[in-house]
Amino acid sequence: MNDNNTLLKVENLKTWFPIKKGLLRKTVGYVRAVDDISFQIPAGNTFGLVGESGSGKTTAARTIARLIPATAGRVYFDGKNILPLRQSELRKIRKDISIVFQDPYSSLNPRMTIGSIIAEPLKVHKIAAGSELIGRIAILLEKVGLSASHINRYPHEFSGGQRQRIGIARALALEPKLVICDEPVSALDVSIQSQILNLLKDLQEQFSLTYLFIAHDLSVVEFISDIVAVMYLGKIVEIAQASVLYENPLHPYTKLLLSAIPKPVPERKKPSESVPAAVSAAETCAGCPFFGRCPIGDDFCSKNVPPLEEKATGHKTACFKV
Amino acid sequence: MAENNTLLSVRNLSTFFDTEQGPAKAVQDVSFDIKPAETFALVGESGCGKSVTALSIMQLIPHPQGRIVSGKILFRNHNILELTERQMRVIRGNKIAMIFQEPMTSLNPVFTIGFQIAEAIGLHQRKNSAQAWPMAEEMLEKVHIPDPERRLYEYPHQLSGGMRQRVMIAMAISCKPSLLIADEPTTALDVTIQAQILDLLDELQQSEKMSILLITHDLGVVAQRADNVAVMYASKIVEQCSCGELFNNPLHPYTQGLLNSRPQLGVKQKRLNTIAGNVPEPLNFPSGCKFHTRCPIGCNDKRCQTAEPQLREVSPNHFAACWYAEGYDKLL
Repeated sequence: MNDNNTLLKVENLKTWFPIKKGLLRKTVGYVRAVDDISFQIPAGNTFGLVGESGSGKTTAARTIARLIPATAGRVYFDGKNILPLRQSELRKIRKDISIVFQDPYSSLNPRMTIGSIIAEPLKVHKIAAGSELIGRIAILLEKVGLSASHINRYPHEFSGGQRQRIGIARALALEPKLVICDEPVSALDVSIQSQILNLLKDLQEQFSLTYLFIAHDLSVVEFISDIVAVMYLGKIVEIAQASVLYENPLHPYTKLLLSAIPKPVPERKKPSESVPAAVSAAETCAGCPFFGRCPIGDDFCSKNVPPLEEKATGHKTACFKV
Repeated sequence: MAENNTLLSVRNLSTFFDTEQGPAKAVQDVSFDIKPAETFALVGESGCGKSVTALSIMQLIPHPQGRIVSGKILFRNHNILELTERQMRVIRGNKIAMIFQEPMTSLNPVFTIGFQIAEAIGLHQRKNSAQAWPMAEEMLEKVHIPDPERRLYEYPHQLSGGMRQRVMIAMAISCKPSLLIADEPTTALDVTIQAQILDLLDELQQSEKMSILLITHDLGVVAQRADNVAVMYASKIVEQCSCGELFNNPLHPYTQGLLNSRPQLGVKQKRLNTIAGNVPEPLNFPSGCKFHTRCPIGCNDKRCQTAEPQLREVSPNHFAACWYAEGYDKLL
């Protein structure tokens, strides 16, 4: 991957949350929500970040968007490290990074009209006003499959799928380069999910957007992503081109995730190979974070942390056994 | 269809909710049978009436705004809708138990796990707490919670989501119900935990010989766990058959649309098939077939727009509510 084409490059990013105890609120340890992750996203691509709840995927995304302070690491956006920027400098970058949130019911202010929700970023950045503003909102609404006549309605008048379209219109208002989609379809009905996924793909083509797409649903991620990274307890355990990862998963955790998805093929499943339960990020052992649930881990794994290594061209995984 | 070996038979159930804009018809004319020890799945999207059906069976519909307007619910050939609240209490939780989607909100945060399970046992089986606590421990062991003796004294917030759902299941099966209603039991859980919980339900079904009414929106879960399925759309059952039949030979365009619109694992797709439009709201259902506004044939068909098709047996034991259930392909 050549550097000129890279829009976002994350290097050794860490976000740790202190655990405070006692009367003096002394820090007794850290939750390593994001622990030393690195990846890069070429412009115009979709980077899928998958993992179970608590794996740190949302924290990673919010750290990249500078909504949570990073503990260490560098985030290069368009070649510039944005972590040390001051708020005033950050404002310019904020225009280029936007977020689509998971829950379309809580991410839209119920007391604002659709028009003013979408107008807000345009006003804050002093991009448009007056009739030009109205015109832009109308265009945005039509781009996401709604109608310009919806402009004076309130969020409660819309269904879940339509609200998510409004959220997408708001995210696109500033013509961003990078859109962080944090579980954009997991709160939606099955028949609506596919509509939104198609819309995201169409918009990407039209505006040459780059997506950082977070989801726990592996089949959704496969559909939309070019590159996929699997996170487990704050670390990336496997990263590869989507087609490669799904055809030839290397890490035992990726295999476990893929096998756990109920496939829509009618056959009564036998009580499956028992899947060990997850542990929390606060109580990891000294070795491989996946050791406690790994079917092939041995003594060596319990004492040493496997590095993320390239096992085939463009296919990295963090496992001693591969 | 009412045979002797049916455990639960729901006949023409309709449940409405009164609102300021008139009655919201949440469930209309729903009928199905559950045989002993089978898993019957009720599939549909949000607002289609699947949870209201379950709550109607449990008679937990909020009063007075919600009411069961017509129908019968025969449990072992007795219509439980005719029971008094006092009599219903003997059945609810005891013969028919229910687990909910959110294990976090269905447990009481201020009592220990042991107290809550023992309370259910004490209430339904007339045991004092000295007798109930050892039984609670036994139940925790049955749902594979490690170190049950210690867990009894823990509070819900000390357990993970999967563990909480196990506690809910322990509580539900503590009175050996013959029917367990599982309302989206794994929707709030991660995939790996989901597999564990579904395995547990399977195992308990085998050992306790209970029937399960599984309510879900996930067709993958249905495919792997159900014996028979009913697909609900906008308050009605639109297709009903055995699980294998549903996936191999779906007859209703809605079922076909649902099956086609999921991204498939291991298949590279350029675009996903979609079902156009939105799920209709109970207060303004479209005329005629409720699916016609989103249906590839119904949207242009006069009959679909004006007359509502009834659920009928299209092939043996395969019911569908569509005018074109037989000749759908030829007409396209």
